[in-house]
Amino acid sequence: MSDTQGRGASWEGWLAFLAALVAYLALAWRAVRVIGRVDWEALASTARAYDAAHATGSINLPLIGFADPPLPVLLQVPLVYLNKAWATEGLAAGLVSALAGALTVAVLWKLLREVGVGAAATWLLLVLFAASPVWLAACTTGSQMALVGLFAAMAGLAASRWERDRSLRDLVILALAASAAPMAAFAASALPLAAVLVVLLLLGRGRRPAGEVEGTLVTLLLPMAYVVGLWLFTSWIILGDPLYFAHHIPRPGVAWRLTMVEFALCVALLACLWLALVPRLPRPLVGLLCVLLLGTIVAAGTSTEPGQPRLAHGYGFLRSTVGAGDARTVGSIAKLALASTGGKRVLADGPVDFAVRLLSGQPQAFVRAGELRRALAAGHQPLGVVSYVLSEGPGPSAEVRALLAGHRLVPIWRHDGWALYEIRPVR
Amino acid sequence: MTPVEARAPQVDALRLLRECPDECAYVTLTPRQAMVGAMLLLASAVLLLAWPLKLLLVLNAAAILFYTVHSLYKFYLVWIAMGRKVELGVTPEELAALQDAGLPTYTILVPLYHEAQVLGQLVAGLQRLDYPAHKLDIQLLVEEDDQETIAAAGALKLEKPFRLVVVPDSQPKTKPKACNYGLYLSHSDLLVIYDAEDQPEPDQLQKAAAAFLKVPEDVICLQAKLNYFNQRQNLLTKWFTAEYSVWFDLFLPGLTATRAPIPLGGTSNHFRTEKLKELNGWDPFNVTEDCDLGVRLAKRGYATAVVDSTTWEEASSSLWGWIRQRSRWAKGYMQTWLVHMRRPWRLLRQLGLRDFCSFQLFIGGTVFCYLVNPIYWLLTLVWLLWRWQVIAAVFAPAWVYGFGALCLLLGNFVFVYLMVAGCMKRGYYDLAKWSVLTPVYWVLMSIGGWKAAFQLLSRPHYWEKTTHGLAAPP
Repeated sequence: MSDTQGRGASWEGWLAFLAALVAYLALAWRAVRVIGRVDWEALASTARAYDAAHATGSINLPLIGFADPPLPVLLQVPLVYLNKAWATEGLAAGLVSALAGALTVAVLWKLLREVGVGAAATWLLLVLFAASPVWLAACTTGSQMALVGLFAAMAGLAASRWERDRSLRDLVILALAASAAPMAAFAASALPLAAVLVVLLLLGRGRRPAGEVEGTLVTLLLPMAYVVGLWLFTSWIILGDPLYFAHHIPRPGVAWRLTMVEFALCVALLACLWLALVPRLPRPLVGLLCVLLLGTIVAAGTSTEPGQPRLAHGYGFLRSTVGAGDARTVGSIAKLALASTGGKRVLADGPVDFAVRLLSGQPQAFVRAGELRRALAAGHQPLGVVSYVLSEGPGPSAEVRALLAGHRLVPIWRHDGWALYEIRPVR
Repeated sequence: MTPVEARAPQVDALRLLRECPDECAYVTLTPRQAMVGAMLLLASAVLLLAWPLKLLLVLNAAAILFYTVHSLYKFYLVWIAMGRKVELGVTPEELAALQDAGLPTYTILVPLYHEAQVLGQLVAGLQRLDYPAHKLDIQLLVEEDDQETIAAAGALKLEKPFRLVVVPDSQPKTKPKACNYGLYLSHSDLLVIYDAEDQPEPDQLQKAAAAFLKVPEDVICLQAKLNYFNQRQNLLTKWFTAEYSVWFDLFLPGLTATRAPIPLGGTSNHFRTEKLKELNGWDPFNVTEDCDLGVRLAKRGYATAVVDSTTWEEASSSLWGWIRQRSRWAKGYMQTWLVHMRRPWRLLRQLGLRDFCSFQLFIGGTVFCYLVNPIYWLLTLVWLLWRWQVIAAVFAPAWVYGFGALCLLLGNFVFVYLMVAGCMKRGYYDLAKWSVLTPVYWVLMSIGGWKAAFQLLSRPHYWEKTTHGLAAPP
């Protein structure tokens, strides 16, 4: 591939961005408002952002949540602060992921054109990527993987440019993007490690003086060190435990490992794309690294508990995301989210208004009676949306049962002290 | 024998005061400014008694907002400077094409006061300048009461183009007043000012002359970059070098790219001489006459560009010397802000909204940060230790808290990172790691800033002289 900086008209990049943004926003809207599908992780992050911004009294910083990376929550705080409806309608997370996804598409367009990929091939690759089930699901459901993808793409573009020009600005962008990624998803910690590896490889290849290597590494590592330090510091200041996230991860199990596999697989795919696009790295080495990386992840993902089908885990997420437009698969996503999170990080304390079709009946009830009935009525329309109640312990509280008078609760799933019930009308 | 210019009483070194008194720092506060200041203080006192919390909340919100905008603006300038080369470069071919006959005449002004110790190295540096001697007029501007330096100059037995100009003893005894003497004795096409310890790159005059041919006519000033030859002498000089690298390699090019008013550095400013005379020279009462001149020329519709050439100076390696120098700069920035804000609406009309905001953010913002930073450091420390509810109350609005947290946690980091970037841009790779300790350096800046604030009221025109010769030149 030839090195041609800035090849391609900027209007094409803008077109790619706007087209992707419109599509992702429309699909995010449809997923939430028409189909009634929400992503539990995204829902949790929106709830936390809402409570951090609007809870009565002083700012509720602990509600930002320190068991998960804070960036998805922090990005939604200004949105829900300006307009509560974006929280109550469940749209805030989708807005962030749609924007991140569209920006990723634009950055990838720039990267492909700068490394010499032709216009037609670029657009083909972009459409395949942007419309792929994995990426589509991430961008329309508020998944933090959209942010991770954006940071990975930015890092890839910056690394490619830095390799060519040794521009300070590109080194800075690489450092900042690689530093921010783990704050969107812990699994993206592979990105800063990959950034350091690539920079060391390129510096060693050029036989740069020791002083320049030192300065380059300081420039690269300082933001990473600061982000880690800030994370530990704020956890300590706000919650009294700098390692809160490590002490509050759900008990590792099949489902937790499945989530980590999903994330790692997505990150690995992006890392392979990045490696492949950095020029001057030997192609056989790149190919070997990609095979090793992907192979390891897939093998780990297909390991199972005794009695479980082998393929169910490694590619389960593909099955659920391919069915993104099918209302009947909404249940599998709820199960997946339930299993992966153990339900523990779904809800925040405090009053949160949500009118969603997937309900939760925790001891601290958060859904108002009218919304619940409205949601149930909407759920029983010919659209065929199924409503659920998620409950901890012995079952839904008396208050929730009272609200559900006239319905019966059918146990669907039980995991780690949580149970999912399907709400069915009494016939 | 060094030609000595006789005292020239007809030289009006205070021309700015006579022609444009409202642009001169002879008066620190005009009656109107004093009245407005007094009214603001009175109103604050009343509000503090009546609604203390509300007042503190409003002041806090305003400060946080200013910090946010100020930080974003500086990041934007650096972003521009890092993305492309903004400084005016001159190729070897362009230099070669600048034929001897086509070279403009050049005056070099070197104000000296108690600089006998460094006079020798100064002259050596000037003699290394690659420029035809018959096109040069090098004026050593010495105060009448500085017999030591006069004697040292005599001992060097300098020939043309050097000449000793004895500045008559008068007040204010400042560098800009001395420079004005030299300016009105000059008949050259171009003019540059150097300090006593300066070591300019030998081809700087040629580069500037070539650059003036390339730029539009409204560019009447070229600022060369400044940096230090004793970068690694101690931790203070490492910080100082990093700061200068950020200032001249990132901030000023960013300002140039946006054609915003540029606070000139005190040396290595190259001017079209007639235009400088048209501006009435430097303000003899302003202790940062360079910063003031940069604003005045912008008000007249002129522009400054940065030329890609470096003058090497001596960084103050003594802590107290550094603080004294910094306090003079801070006092000068305060003077500059007060002078040009005497008629804010007129300033807005002259600069335009964008450059008016740039003036507030860059010059006003520098002073603001020096003075207000310690207050917020104290607030943060008190909050961490004792969790006073008053502090929580003044940060109660979510947006104030949010922006405040951003400034504290992200803004400060970015400013530290800028110091790293400045070192990398200059190629001082080994200095990058010392930039991590920049917050300590900020404390020193604020000490200088508060010293300046007190001195502005007590001795506004006092010139804190920087001691040179503490480090061996290269």
